[in-house]
Amino acid sequence: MGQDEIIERLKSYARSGKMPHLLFSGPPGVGKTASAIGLARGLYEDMWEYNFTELNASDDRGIDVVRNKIKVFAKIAPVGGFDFKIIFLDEADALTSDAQSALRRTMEIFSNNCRFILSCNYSSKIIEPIQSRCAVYRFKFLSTDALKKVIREIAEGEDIKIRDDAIEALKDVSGGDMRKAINALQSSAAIEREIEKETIYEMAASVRPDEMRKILDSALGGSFDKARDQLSLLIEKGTSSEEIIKVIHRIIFDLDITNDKKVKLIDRLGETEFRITEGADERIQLDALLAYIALME
Amino acid sequence: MDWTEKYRPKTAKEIVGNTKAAEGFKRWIKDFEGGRVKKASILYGPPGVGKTSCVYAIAGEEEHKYDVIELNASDQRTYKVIKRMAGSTSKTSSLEGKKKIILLDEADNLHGNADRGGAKAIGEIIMGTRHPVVLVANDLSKIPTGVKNRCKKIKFEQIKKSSISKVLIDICERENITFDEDAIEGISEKNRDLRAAINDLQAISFGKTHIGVDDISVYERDVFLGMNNGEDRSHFLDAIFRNDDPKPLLKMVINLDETPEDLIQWINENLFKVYWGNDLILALDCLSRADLYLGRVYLNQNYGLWRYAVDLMTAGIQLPKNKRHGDIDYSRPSRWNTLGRAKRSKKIGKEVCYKISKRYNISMKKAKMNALPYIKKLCTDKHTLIGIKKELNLKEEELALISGIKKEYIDNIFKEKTKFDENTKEKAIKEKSGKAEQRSISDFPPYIR
Repeated sequence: MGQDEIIERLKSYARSGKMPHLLFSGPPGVGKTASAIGLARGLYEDMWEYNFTELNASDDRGIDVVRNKIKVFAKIAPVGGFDFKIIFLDEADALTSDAQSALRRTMEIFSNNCRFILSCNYSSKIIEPIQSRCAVYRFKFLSTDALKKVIREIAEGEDIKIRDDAIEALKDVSGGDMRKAINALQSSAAIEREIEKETIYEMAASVRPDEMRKILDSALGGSFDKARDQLSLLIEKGTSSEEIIKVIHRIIFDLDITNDKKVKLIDRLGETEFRITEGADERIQLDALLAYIALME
Repeated sequence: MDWTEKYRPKTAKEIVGNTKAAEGFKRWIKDFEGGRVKKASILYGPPGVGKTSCVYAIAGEEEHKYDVIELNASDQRTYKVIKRMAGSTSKTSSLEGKKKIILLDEADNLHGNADRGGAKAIGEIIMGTRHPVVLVANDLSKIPTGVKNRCKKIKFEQIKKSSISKVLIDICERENITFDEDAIEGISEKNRDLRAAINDLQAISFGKTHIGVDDISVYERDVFLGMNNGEDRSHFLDAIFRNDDPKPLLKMVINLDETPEDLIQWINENLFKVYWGNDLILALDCLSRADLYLGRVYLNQNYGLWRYAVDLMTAGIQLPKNKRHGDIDYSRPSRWNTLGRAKRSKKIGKEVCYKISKRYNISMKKAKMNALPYIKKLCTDKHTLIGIKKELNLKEEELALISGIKKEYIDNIFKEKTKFDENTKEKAIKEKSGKAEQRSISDFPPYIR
């Protein structure tokens, strides 16, 4: 979905029953794994689970994986009279370059009964000889329209009512990641048949951007106490500091301050997150962040 | 079937581009039978130019008919394994008396621990073999010198665009596919590598009988490491350096196929072309803060911090108001070019320290801290230089590195020395035949005196 040109090409592979090695690159949640599985279903129909092997490279990424695991899979003949089976290597950029170079001849030698689909976030992390053996598809970040369309379709199929502002909220909490959006939709749907945006923010344990914006505006207006009280309320509701920081980050560039200040704020925010991950106290750090904002000139 | 396999050249004549290299290889195989040449050869060059294909093509030719025994990086290649696989074959001939070629593909990829002793085994096999041994590699400098010296080196170059087009057209005709010439041009334009080009062609033409220009648009291939193509790159850098609005920039970043670590290098390289004075300092400060976050990501594997690094290196760098106008010719991070060189001199330096530590029984660290500076200083004198070379058994390039004298100049010194040695020898012989042995100190070469 949302990757129309690529999907069109993959469909033609499924129709003709032939395909080259593929390399899918793109940010998370744009449909790389879904496309690979879709392609396998198209090719093998009922038999797809027998002929499609998924290996997550980030679990184990040394050269031994290629030499032991992958080669063994590649040697086994496909089931059901098909010409080849598919090995799907998720997060192939997590493979060490040693492991990648061990993979390159494997791809060629077993190409008569096995095709590889590699997926990665950054194709520059895949060594050139492997790229040279693959057809490279670059998955783009999903457009808001595509995401909304999918949500609507799912809602219709599942007989869920969802309002426009709730879809907007889904887009917000997912940050464009389709997987996250659908997960949030599903968990919200478990609670109510008619989904409201509050539920979605609650389910995602997230903060509504407009709520956060109010806090930041108070702080920017110089009323630190007010901002701090509002923030306390949020934290009492159980919102994690991680989520608060994430939302602040998302709305920084919408604030009415100069770009110069925005950049300063980004830096300070990053510092706050870093300190918290290093084990500093959330409340103290967040209060200090608000204080910094209140003092900003 | 993969077209890259289907249309792998079957004979030497079918090899495209690199015909000279192929001929050189063929000649070597012939000479090998005559027993006059080095027992191994090494084919090296960029990926997808036909190195492995060349070996198989020539082995398969009627007049030769070799079996190819292949060991590649997907096999474990420890000392034992290589000796077992290639060692037994290297000394026996097969039953029907068929000849064999031992092919070690990806010879530059022997991995420290997993392939312990692999390089040594290769060296031994070359020594004892009765069959030609062929190594294939991308990077010649990664092959151990001991192995390299025993091999005939054959270099493969990048294939010309026009040759790639010709192959693609030929395949289209054989597969009964019609095509727009621009589409073929487009594919060969994007690929410096024949295998990649054929793969693209096949990927595009699945289930089709005609290839048009529109078909090739989905494909993007990274020609160089770094951003996928020049257009994208300059577009993105323009968005940083030419605009004041961070919002579209941040949207672009999401779709950019580039890690922040690589991105920051691009920005660092081109920053100096846009800013000057105080603005440059501001921008650099921002970049260093961005880099700080990259460091934190690296230390803690906390990728959440990447977003701050990216924001700082894009929106932050954009801040200064005074930008140089006019077209900017963006260049590739020069650090990537020098990286290889720096690595190499580090390696040589280590080698020298090792030799010093062995010679004087001190630790490598002491050799580096205490001995090396003095030796460096001593090297400024021509005569001591010659002595040091002998004392530590250094190679010319090692000497060049520690003394900081150009290698040509050092070569010159040694040429002079050999000349001088020969002269004195002749002189000594003459004198010996002339009169009784009587040497004065001036007969000795000055570096012994």
